[in-house]
This record gives sequence, structure tokens and C-alpha cells, in this order.
Amino acid sequence: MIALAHRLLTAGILTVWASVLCFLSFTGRMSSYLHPAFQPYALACGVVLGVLAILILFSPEEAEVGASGCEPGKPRSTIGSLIVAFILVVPLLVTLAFSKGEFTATAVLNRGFVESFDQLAGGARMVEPSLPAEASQPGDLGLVEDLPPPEIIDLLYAAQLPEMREGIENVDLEFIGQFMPATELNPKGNRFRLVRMMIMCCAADAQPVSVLVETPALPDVGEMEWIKVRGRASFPIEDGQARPLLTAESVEKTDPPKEVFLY
Amino acid sequence: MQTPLEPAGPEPMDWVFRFEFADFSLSFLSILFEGLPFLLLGTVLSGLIDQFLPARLMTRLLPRNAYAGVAISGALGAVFPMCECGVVPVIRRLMGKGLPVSNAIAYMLAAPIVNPIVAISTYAAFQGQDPLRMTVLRLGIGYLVAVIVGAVVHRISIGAVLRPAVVAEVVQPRGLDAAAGGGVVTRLWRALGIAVGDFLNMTIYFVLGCAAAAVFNTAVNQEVIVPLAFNDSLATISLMALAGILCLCSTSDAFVAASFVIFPQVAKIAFMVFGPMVDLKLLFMYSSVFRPKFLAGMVVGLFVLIALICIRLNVIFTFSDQIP
Repeated sequence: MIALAHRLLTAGILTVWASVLCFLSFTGRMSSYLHPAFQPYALACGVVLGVLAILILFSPEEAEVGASGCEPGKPRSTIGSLIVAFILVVPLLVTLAFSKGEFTATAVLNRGFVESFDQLAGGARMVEPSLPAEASQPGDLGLVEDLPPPEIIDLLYAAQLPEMREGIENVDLEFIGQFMPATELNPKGNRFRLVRMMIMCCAADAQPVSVLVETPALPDVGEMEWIKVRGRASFPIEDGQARPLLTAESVEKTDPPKEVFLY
Repeated sequence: MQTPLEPAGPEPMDWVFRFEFADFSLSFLSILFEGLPFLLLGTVLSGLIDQFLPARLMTRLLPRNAYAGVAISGALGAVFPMCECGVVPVIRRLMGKGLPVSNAIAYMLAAPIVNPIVAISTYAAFQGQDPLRMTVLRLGIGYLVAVIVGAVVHRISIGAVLRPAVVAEVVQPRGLDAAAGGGVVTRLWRALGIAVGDFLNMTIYFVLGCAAAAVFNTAVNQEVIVPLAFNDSLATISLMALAGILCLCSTSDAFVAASFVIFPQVAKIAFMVFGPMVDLKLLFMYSSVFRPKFLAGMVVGLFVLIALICIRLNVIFTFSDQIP
């Protein structure tokens, strides 16, 4: 009877983990936690854990070896197994319930803003950015079908390499990002920061990439709320270095993008 | 607010620790989901090793000279790459199959660094920052440190290194004979049971380690380390401490290291060598195998050894940079 209970408990724990991993993978929510390169591993892990749960449930006695214990052939006590189940299941489910899939202003401020391309993880690789097509007519967002729309990171790139500014400067651009107040480089008090989190492998290494936005009136939004900024980019020298500055024509609240992180 | 990668600005930092549960949850789950597949792979391997690797085979394959064995074990990651999350259950089973503890520790410390995936990612991450030198130094120092630690462990009794339960497995290795034989199917079932047992056991430590890492990862103001960047010794030590806190995967930590633009190269190497060997989640996982006293000694020893090597390395950097 106890052996059966241990077996059910083990299979239950594996099922919970498998369900969480598969659920997040199939609903696309895994992109809030992992870089796309790591997401297939998480899905595969969920599937394998599900298979293991089924196998453990229907396994012969041989598979009892170490199935619920720390040492082979020496299963844990019932209380020990319940403690293990608690540690393995409760933190997972509680954090899943409280995780919003994006960071708050506290984490962003603790990590500090990335304002130039060479501060960015992987920035030294100097990957060709996705620049908008040449466009000069106001109202034309400077995009063509083949190119992805520019991101904040492209502005950092252009600030560092003047030759890359041709398709960005004096072009109407549109960016989606998160609002943060600008406490520095804001002498007139009419600037805020537009932030996107960029990850290399998982959300734990996310870096807040930010550009300054200048606007006639600061928008009435809270910290880390999603906004859409439409405006033109310039690259003035401030505090000894060229910095991207968006002069906003409009700022409005918007829904989060499908993928909240940049990769 | 200053970025942690810039010199300290005019605004003083007004807090060191500020906690948000939502941030903790996101960071905790992301570290967990990133490492779990590799932990599962390691535990599945451990089950298969237990049931299918003949006892003492490892001993027969390795050279008789213990130090030569340690040196070879330190390089095995080049052939059998394993990340830091999966390597602990694997070395536990390998020790149970007769692999000397010193060799197992050399492999455990070196494999997450001395492997082709890490070499490629380090080279790619440091494009424009002397990638070949950074890659060679990272792998070279990682190997050297692992072998030194393995050689030191060879001089220590097993009882002082391993937890009693693990000593029992090592002293009486479980070979095919000890596992009571049986057909392939029977052994596969046993391997399944062992793999699942190891997975649950290691995941407990992994969960606790991820939680500790997530607290520091999201709640500590990283601006704290910025003023230290302008002194080679302090920069090296501070980035090593950061590596221990961040718990990054060794396959991608080079990209983060390369972004520490105001820190000297030696500090970045220390970050990339120390992190895969010791971080918060690994401490919890190591504690399932090693005695607390030995573990504390190993962590302090690794910290001091890597710091000393990297700080002295700065002399070589300065000298080689002067060569036209």
C-alpha cells in the first residue's frame, strides 16, 4: 500500500512538472521565460517527464529502486516523500501563479539601463541590425514588407555607428516599449525612457535596453506600462557620447507585444 | 539611474536590496526551466550508467598514475560535454562505478567549461575583443583549476569529501553483478527507477538553488559593483561574486561577460571560469554529494585560486599588449 502511495506521489509530481512545461510551451507563454533556442528543450523535457510519469505508474517492482528516495533501494519515509512533494510542487505552482511574465520597475532599476550597444550582452558581435528602408515622407514609417520593424536596439546600434543612421534619422518611426521615468539626462523634465528587456538565454539574464524619449507632455502612464511611441530619432551628443533620442509626435497606451522580450 | 556598466554617476544609489515577488517568480521559473532539461538528461544518463556501465570499467580505462587520471578526466568534457546542471548526478553514478573521487571532481568542474559548445559560444561572444585569446584562456584556466582541485582531492580521504550515503555507494560499487543482473528490459526498468529517483532528489536542491539565485538576481542593486570596476583585483572578485549570484548557463554566460565593458578582461575570464564551477544553485546540488566542510573548503579554494590566477594574468595581458 505504501509502495503504491509512493508510486502515485512520484507519478503525480512528474505529471505536474510535465503539465506546466507542456502548457507553457503550447500556449506560447514559455517565451516569457526562455530564449527561443532553449524553448524546444523545455518542451522535450515536459514530454519526457510525462512519459516517465506514465512508465512509473505502470512499472514493475524493479522500477521501485530509488523511485522515491535518495539512495537506490532505500525509499524515503512517507513524511519525507510528502516534504519532497511539497518542495517540488508548491514553489512551482505559486511562482507560476504570481509571475506576470514580465519584470516590474524594481528589477529594471536593480539591473540598470543599457544605453549603448556595447553594453549589451552579445553587443560586441555587431550583428547587422534590422534597419528600416529609406523613407523621407512624413507619415511613412520607413518600413518595407521584407524587413522587420526597427526595435529600440537598432537605435543603440545606429548611435554607435553613424553610417547606420541613414535609414533611421529623420524618418517617422514607431516603437512599442515600456514606460519608465527619466531621472537623468532630463534637464527640462520632458523626457522619459522607453524600455525593452533583452534576453540571451532566459529571463534571469534580461537587460533593460532603453532610449530617451522627448515629448511636449509626459504621458499619464505608470512605470513599466506598455506604450506605443511614434516619432523621429536623432543622435545628439550628451554627457560625452552620442545617444539615441526619440522626439515623440504621439505616445499612447498599447497592449504588450506577442513576445515581451527582445532576443 | 546609472547602468551597472557605467562609472558611478552623480545620483547616489539609494538602496541595495529591494524585493518584488513577481520579479522573483519570473527569474526563478526561467532559471528552473532553462536548467531542468539538462538536469533530466543528467539523471537519465545516471540511471543508464548505473545499470549498463560495468563496475570498475572506468578504473581500467584510466591510467594507473592518479594524477595522469585526473589530468585526463579534466579534459573529458571535450568528448563528453555536460553542462553544470546535469553533471552532478552523472559523477555520482560514475563514482559508484569506481571512478576515483579526484577524477570525478576534475570532470565535474571542467566539463561545463572545457567543451566545444562553450568554446564556440565564447569565441562568438568576444568578437572584436580578442576572441581567440579569451577563449583559450577561459578553457585553459578552467582546465588547470579543475585539475589542480582534482589533484588536491586525491590527497584527501573519501570520507572527508563525500557524504556518508555517497561513500557507501563508492566503497561498494554497484556493478552489473551488484545490480543482480537480469535482462535488458529488467535493467531498463531499474534504470528508469534510478533516473526518476535521482531527478527528484537533485531537483529539490535545484529548486532551492534557483530560489536563492532569483532573490539575488532580481532584488540586489547591481550598481553596487560598478565602483569596483576600476581596480583589477576588486573587479575580478566582484565579477566572480556576480557569477555566483546570477547562475548563468555556461553555454551563454560569455555573452553576458562580454557586455561588462568597463571591466578588465581578466575579470571577465574570472567570471566565465568561476560561474560554471560555483553558483548558488550548484551549491545546493553539490551539497547532495559532498560534506559541508569539504564543500565550503572547495568553494573558498576555487574562489581564491581563480582570483589569483586571473589577477596575475593581468601582467601577461599588459606585457603582450606592449608587443608590437
